[in-house]
Amino acid sequence: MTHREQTFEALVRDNRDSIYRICRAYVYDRLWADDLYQEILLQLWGSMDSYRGAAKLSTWVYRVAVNTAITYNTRQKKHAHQQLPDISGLPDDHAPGEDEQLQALYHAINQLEPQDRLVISLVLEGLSYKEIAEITGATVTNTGARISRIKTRIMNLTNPESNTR
Amino acid sequence: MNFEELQRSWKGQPLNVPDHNTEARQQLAYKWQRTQRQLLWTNIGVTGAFAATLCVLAWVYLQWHSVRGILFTGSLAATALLLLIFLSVLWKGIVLKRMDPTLSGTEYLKRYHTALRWRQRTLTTYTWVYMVLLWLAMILYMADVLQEMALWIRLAAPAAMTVYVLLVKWLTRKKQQRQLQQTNELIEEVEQMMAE
Repeated sequence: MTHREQTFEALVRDNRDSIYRICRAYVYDRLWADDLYQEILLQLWGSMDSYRGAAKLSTWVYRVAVNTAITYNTRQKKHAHQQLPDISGLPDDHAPGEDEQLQALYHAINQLEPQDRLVISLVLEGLSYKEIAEITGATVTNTGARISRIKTRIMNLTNPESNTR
Repeated sequence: MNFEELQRSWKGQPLNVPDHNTEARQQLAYKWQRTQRQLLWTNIGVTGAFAATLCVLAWVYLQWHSVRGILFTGSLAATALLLLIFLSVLWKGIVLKRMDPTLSGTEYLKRYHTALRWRQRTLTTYTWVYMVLLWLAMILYMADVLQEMALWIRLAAPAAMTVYVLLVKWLTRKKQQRQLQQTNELIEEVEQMMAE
């Protein structure tokens, strides 16, 4: 295995779950998410030589993932974001608790604008405001305000009863 | 539930990430090389075809420029210039296919938007201007070359050329409309992202 292949292998091993979750947040459908995931790996493979170490490797990986997702979804209209059914219309065959929470979260993410879906997926991955600002290219202040707005929206969507009180 | 619970649930979700074994890695490397090669060869092919056309134009000019008038020289020069402009537009179009994914999100969207605007202008304006100018150059060329021919030939040749140009335009109109519609939708979507 070449040095390049070894580096790529390590990069994928360390970030594969996060990348895949970003894909699911953005396009939801599993088949499309698989396709987008492969596209991101392709772009990472092709861009590896341009990594200069200015940012953390994981930040750089997220940046490639986010940009690839943007182009993927806008270029391929056939992959237009799938609208999930209303939360009340989701299948009832899953156990309550964690799974239900996750379904509610997916449903809430699905209601967001495409860019907000990417931002919230980075927040859910545990990235700091500074890291997210580095990825999106916005200022930390604007990023903070934006994340706060998205979080509020997510909480309202996942707890509809608290919203109606 | 609070946000931390959602975050735990998000990170703890069962995933079925596609395999990334040796075979998959090799396929990836192969796919990347193939994509890069395809892009390059397509452009080299078109550039070669245009270079051949320019050589023919140069040959025609060198053979007859001493016995022909200003229209002959002007039309050939205009055609050559138009071909060169078309070629530069073609290479510029590569920008769309070679977006650098390592840029920051804002910069990436900005460049993507610029590239899409360029494609939109090409479809709505530049293609038309190119066709009209090329048609005009050909008409001027014919006017010079056919000036000693019978009247009906002097009229029929430009008419045939005009019909041909219109026919090509008519046959490709649906494809162009589709491309334009897709580009407009993409621009709208990217602008919405930029505003968010």
